[in-house]
Amino acid sequence: MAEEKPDIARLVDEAAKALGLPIAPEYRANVIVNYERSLAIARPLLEVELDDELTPAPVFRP
Amino acid sequence: MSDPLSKQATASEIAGAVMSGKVKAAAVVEAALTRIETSEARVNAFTDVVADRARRRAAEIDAGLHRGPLAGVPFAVKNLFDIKGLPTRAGSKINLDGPKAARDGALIRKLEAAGAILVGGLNMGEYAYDFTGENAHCGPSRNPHDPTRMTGGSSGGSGAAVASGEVPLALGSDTNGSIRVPSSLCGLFGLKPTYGRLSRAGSFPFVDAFDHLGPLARSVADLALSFDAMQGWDPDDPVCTDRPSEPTVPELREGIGNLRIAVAGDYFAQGAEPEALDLPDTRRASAEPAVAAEARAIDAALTRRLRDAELLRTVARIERVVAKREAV
Repeated sequence: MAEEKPDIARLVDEAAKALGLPIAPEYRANVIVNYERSLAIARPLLEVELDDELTPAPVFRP
Repeated sequence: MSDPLSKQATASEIAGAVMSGKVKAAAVVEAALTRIETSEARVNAFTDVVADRARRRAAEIDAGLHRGPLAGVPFAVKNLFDIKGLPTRAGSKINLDGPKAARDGALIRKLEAAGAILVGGLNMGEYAYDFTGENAHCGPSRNPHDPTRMTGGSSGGSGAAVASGEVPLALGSDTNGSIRVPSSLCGLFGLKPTYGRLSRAGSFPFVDAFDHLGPLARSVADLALSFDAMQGWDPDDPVCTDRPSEPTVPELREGIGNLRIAVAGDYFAQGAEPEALDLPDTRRASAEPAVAAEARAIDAALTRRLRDAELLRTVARIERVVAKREAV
């Protein structure tokens, strides 16, 4: 399946509406850049295989 | 041994001088308040100075109350710690309209129980989402070694206050490096303790699963002294460990001969300067090649991805904090 480029600007605008959190026009461009960077960071992370049985271990006990 | 009233004095030296009666806590506090007044224009470390409270506290210590291993040591805290009677800024503008803290954060209470004296709250990156120490509302904290440069962040005021000599000891918080970065950039020692070792009760959280509170100082002995005073289970922080305290001060004289030290390679070694890698004493002690080899193997496979996961959780968290506050 060919990867379709997501419309981050629309995601930001719609999420802002859903949250009832208007984004001032002077901040909008940077919010979009922040989302794009987060997406770039998330892509390789999502490729890491994790077993379904794995459970979090918030406390280390040697 | 430095003059306990000088900006070079360490917490250990001040406490020793106060306990032995060589100097009054009141004089130590006045000297610190004077240094703050003269240095602030240059380093912009403080957002709040609690002079009256500090003077009262010093008088109590000089009257023979509150004697302890940190007697008379002035300290300051990143302004995400609750300070009784002040709003907990956490580097933000909007928190200033919030409630005033009803009591001090747990670590302030512990340090004061050991005789230390709080003198104020410190500048920080907004909501701790910051590596530079630059605050949009209060201005940047500046590096005392060269005020044209950044302190690093987000505990930027903590780095500036200790490196400039305003106070010998400061508390910061570290979620993704916020104690380690300013300690490094300001030429200090900083301690990000094991997760859960020190109580975070009465501090403004950032990413709960990664948040650590800890000290910054100009000597390792001061880190040990303050860390020992702050250890101990606290039911008000659900992840605070109930393991017995492990005093570190007595360990300082033991040397590193019996320690196993893993050297993080791969990602962590990239860009390292020669002096950081050339630590012959550490190398000799680290010995066990199996440990080091294991650490390298783990780094190569997962370090980068772990960092990615940490960054994403941080971004998600800061968006939640800001959304919640803006929506109010």
